[in-house]
Amino acid sequence: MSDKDRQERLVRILDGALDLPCARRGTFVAKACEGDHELMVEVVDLLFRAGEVHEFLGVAQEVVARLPSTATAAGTGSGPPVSGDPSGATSHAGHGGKPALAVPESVGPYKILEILGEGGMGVVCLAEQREPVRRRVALKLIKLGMDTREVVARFETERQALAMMDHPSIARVYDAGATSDGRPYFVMEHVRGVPLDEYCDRHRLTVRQRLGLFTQVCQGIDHAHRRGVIHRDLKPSNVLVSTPDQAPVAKIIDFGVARATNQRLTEKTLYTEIGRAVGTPAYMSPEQAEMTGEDVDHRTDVYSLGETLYELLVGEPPMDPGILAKTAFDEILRRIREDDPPTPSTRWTRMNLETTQRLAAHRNSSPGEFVGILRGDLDWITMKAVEKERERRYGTVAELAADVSRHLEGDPVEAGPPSALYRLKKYVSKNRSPVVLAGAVFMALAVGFVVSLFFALAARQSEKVALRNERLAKQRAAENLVFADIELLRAYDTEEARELRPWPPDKRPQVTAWLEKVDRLLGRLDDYRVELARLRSTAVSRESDPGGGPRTYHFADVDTAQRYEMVQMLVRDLDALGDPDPNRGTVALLRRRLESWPLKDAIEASWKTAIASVRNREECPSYDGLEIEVISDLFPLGRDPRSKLWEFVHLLTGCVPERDDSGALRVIGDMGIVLVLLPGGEFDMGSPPDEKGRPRPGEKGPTRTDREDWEMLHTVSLSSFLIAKHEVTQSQWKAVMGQIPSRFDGDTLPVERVSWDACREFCKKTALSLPTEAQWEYACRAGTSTPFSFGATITPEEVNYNGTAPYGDTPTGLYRERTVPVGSLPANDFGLHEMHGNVGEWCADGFDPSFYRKSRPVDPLRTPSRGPLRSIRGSSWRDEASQCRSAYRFGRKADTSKGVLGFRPARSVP
Amino acid sequence: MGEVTRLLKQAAEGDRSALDAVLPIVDKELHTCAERMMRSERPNHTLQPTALVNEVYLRLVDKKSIDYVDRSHFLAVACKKMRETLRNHARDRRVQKRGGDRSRVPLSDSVLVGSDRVVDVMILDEALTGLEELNARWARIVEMRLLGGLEAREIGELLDLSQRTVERELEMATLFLLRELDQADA
Repeated sequence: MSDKDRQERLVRILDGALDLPCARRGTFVAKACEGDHELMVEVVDLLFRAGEVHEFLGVAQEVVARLPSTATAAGTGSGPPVSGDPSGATSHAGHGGKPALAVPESVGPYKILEILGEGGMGVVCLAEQREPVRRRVALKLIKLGMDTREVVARFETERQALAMMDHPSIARVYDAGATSDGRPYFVMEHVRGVPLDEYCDRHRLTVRQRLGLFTQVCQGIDHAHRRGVIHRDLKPSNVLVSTPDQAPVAKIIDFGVARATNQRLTEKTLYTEIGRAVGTPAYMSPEQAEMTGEDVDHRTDVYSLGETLYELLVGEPPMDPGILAKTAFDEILRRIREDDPPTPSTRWTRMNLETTQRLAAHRNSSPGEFVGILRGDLDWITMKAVEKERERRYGTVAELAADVSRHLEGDPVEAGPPSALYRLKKYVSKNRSPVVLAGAVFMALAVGFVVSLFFALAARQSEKVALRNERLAKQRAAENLVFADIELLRAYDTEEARELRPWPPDKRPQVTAWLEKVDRLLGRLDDYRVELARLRSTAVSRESDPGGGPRTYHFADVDTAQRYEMVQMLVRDLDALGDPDPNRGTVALLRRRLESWPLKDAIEASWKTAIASVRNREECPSYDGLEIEVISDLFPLGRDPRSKLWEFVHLLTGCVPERDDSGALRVIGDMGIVLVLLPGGEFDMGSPPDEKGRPRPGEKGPTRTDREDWEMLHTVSLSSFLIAKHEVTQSQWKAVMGQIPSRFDGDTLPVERVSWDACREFCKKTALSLPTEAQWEYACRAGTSTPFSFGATITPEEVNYNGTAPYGDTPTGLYRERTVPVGSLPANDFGLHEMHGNVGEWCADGFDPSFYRKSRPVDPLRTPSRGPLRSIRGSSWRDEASQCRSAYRFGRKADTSKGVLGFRPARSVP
Repeated sequence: MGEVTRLLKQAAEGDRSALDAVLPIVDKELHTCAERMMRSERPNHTLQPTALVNEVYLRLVDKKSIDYVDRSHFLAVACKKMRETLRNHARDRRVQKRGGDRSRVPLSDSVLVGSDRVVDVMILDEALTGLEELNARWARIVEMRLLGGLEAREIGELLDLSQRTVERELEMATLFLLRELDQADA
């Protein structure tokens, strides 16, 4: 084939591939090249840049767009005016330089001492006040050109409110007035400090420390809002950080100034003093950019706080001042009103490696670690604060601050990823203009979105996310392959997987669809492996980690290094997602779930058998003819060979376990909760007065509860119920709640460090409940009346407890000092494992030592609403043997979470 | 009405020679503008061809009396000249490297093309020449976009192609150009 033919063929294939969505390009190219490997490599090499094309060409247009309006401003013909320091210099902290304004020796009663700095609005001076008190103040002298009378009048209207503000995070505003030559001035508390952003970077504050300072700012602003004062010009340079006694204190300056000077951005101010103009455009809220007048409320400060937070996190405000400085005035306003900024983490991944390394160092972190810190909560909090529509922002600054502290505490935040419906609505309304619709391409696009919108309106919550991600999948065509795949991976792996969690069997179609999508993504893994190898071959040097970690590669240029880092990250994460071990890879896990989920017919048949068997007095005498009904999310597993009791698996929490040859259940990592159907009956709850280790009334102390007989023996009658065979495992917890909070790490270890409140949450999601104390003790005793279900004593071979504190005369034994996998120790006569020891188990009851005296004899439950304590039974790996007795009980506050506290759920029988 | 505006209007009415008469004026203005730009900036400042071409347009043409078709004609001419300026410049540098005539001072070592991409003048010229060998029309389209800032629609009207074709060819041409630039970087 001649060179020319080959070239033509290459162009044809390239042309064809560009017609297709990215996901299908690989297959197309492979087919079209018909085994011509060299050709294929060349096409792929070119296609890899497809995502860069629009970005590369995109800004070229902006340059042109802004030229007509800038040519006049740039009188010297030196191109567009570019501001050197877009952050402005409105702070007190001196930025040096010779002031362009003449500064008088004294202004009213204030004697000017020195010039602290110069900003777009005027000069800030250190001044001395003589009357009525002698103090040093900061005096801001506004340059000529404003209507002084109006400025002072507007200040007067707010003076009362300003005077009422008294908060450690607000610099006091004292006075305003006019100089003899008619320039307005403001007098405020003099703060010796450094602008917030500068301080954070200089002291290499971590994200947590930054958030701490940010919270101070929020508190100050909240204080002002409660007194009806809006700042209107918040930005990092208007917050000064000083360290009066070690701990940094943030102070907001310039309160009242923006309002009084009625600052409004005009084309003139923008182009003569871009970046230094009052109301720095990068921090302007969309409603301020509307320029329609006074319709600005406290939420404009919420927006600016969001921008400040954004900058504290990634070093730049969401509206890149560099770009704004190069953009035409109207375009700036349009961008502020309409352009959605990327999330902080996305912004981070788009920076080049050098920048991220520098920024990460300022945050005492590494680029890779830092992006992980941003993703999720911080992304959502920031994006919620900088929503274009103020109705969608945090309603108050206090709410924003609360979400930040929720994040710091590790609690779930209120902000979340934006819904697809909202995005679609926005898109459609934005593109309704006839000009845009005129183009056939856009027409098709808009129609597509209207259809999507229609669909979305009928869609349920979980489908909304899927829809948005579908759109993202389409965008791959226009975006960088790797970026888009990283985004897709994140979307599939976190957002969608979370929506589907805990993967209930009735979501079989969604799970199947999810697996298909992820498979398509994983299909590109090999391509990325190839690219990774190709990139590695271009490395200038490589280093092995003596600790056995991955090799480090060094590249000649930043772009390759960054590309390498991204591809490497993608390959690593895709590998993790596709890990064939179901305990590690979500794909393998879900595939096993799909396989293990019994089909509808099988479930129905099993239930028929189970119902008949339970009812049959000859087959199951213990149930005494009990009538049960189908419980839809349970699947009958047959009877335990030893206890002869029916067992069921809860499909929402995991796979169907198998029985071994003896008929005993095999515990696997991803096993659903197994519930044992216990027959109802009567039993003696509590312990006889002579039981060893039992607290005796009055023994503990003088108070009334101490004199109570905590374990008073009394007869209780219970209806039949289901209770978990094992303590809830970590994999079960993860399947429902997503995160594992535990001290020890292992799929089949019981989950611990879960509070009573969290356990209730788990139960709510799984349609289960916590057992009552009576149910628990009945289940634990399994017909026995001895101190333990194993008899008069226990050994570490039977129970995981503190072997150095054995029961009665039993010799000391093994103290494991940790939890053991569920089902690894012998079961009681009901087939229940680890009722004694391992982890203490939360019960439904409120803890009340005197409850036994007054409880009703049938199905007793101490309602948990009164008092902060909740009952715990069974004790743990750390407790003495006597505390693991069947009758032993104690209480903890409902929000306690400790490495010794877990639970096993129950369920009533309909 | 300025000289160039008048010539452009003549060209729009079908007078080919009028367009030729514009060329030297554009050439001269390009140089003057570029040199002034470089003088007023710090040394080794990056030249921005699009900005330069458009500035020349604003200087030479009375934009009130000209419609946008004439504008794109002008820009097309101007960016061709821009390319020449770049090429001469690249040649001068080569000469200098071989110890040749040092009297011509290069404008700038690098130019800013596309979005914030700074490219060595020589590399850009070579990449464009390489693209020309591959497909002359593609090279022309890329030139008009990168150096003149013309939109696909305008390029389409000048070359009598559909906007869609221009967009696609621009996309493919950019892929090749980016590859050339990447290879040169490496």
